[in-house]
Amino acid sequence: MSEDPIPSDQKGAPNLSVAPEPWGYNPSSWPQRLAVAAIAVPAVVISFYLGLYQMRVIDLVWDPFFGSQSMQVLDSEVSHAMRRWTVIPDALLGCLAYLGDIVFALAGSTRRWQYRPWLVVLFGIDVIPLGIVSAVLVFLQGAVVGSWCFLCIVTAVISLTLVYFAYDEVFSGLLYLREVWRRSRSLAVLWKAFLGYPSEVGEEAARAISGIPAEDQ
Amino acid sequence: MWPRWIQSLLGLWLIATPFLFSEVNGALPSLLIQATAGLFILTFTLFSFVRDTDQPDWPNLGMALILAAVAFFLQDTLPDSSPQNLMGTGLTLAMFSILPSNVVRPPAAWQKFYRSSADSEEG
Repeated sequence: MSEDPIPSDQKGAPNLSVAPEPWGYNPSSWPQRLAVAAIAVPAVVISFYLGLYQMRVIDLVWDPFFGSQSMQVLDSEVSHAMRRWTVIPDALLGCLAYLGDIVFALAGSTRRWQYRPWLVVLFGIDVIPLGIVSAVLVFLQGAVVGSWCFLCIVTAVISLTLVYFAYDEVFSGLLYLREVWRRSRSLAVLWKAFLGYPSEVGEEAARAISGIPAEDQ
Repeated sequence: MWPRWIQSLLGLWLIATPFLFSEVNGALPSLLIQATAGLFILTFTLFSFVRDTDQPDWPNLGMALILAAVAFFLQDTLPDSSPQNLMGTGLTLAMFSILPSNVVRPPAAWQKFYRSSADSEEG
């Protein structure tokens, strides 16, 4: 009797290090996602610090270049107007968004672009549009408020860096969903694939965009 | 399971904050809201440890939205720090409760799918 080449507990185990097109690497790999989480940590700390000033837990904000202009930005009418809608200071809202970047970067397997596309899309929404909008707002503050805030600019640069590190995985997730749609032309199948439910169509779509042979997962 | 452990801490935080922020005297509604929400979060987090691990924690996700709504609509009624605390905790809770308990491994349904595919190929 020949020895079984695959131990029984590994039969049918998914291959978690698949590189989907157009990348030559796995965009959901741990090094990729840990980089996002690590880059977001200083942004969480900085925005929390700015939020403490807006809540008057601290009296001053450190700024090596623009001095008291930082506090003018944080106390601006725009900031106060936003607070009426968001209840918490806008810097703390930014802090939560950066925390979301970390949390959503750390969740999911290394093939989550296929197994949990909803999570990748949520991560993408948190990092890409919100990051770009917050960066644009920070760079517009000089024109609108007439003052600059050094630490706000640092967080804006971090936001744009995060976009660079996150876009490939989001692209793969969307490419997978597009392939599911192309093969099924069914909103129900697409919705199930988005939510991460398994299907033959989903598996075929994943194989197609990652060049996995049919006999391998 | 790490999102659930953090949810537990958020529940404890809500129960503790009226005391930390000295709102106990003269702010009974705030105390009741936070204590009730905290106990709710702790209870349903406990349930989520034994339920389907590939689903979000729906009750706590609902509670997160309720906390945000209470913070928004009662921001002029409750003591100053309370709406901010409810909004901050609500948004943080939403972030964690939307994640499944089985947050790192592939979903069980996909693992089952591959196992049955492998079995049918062998058969």
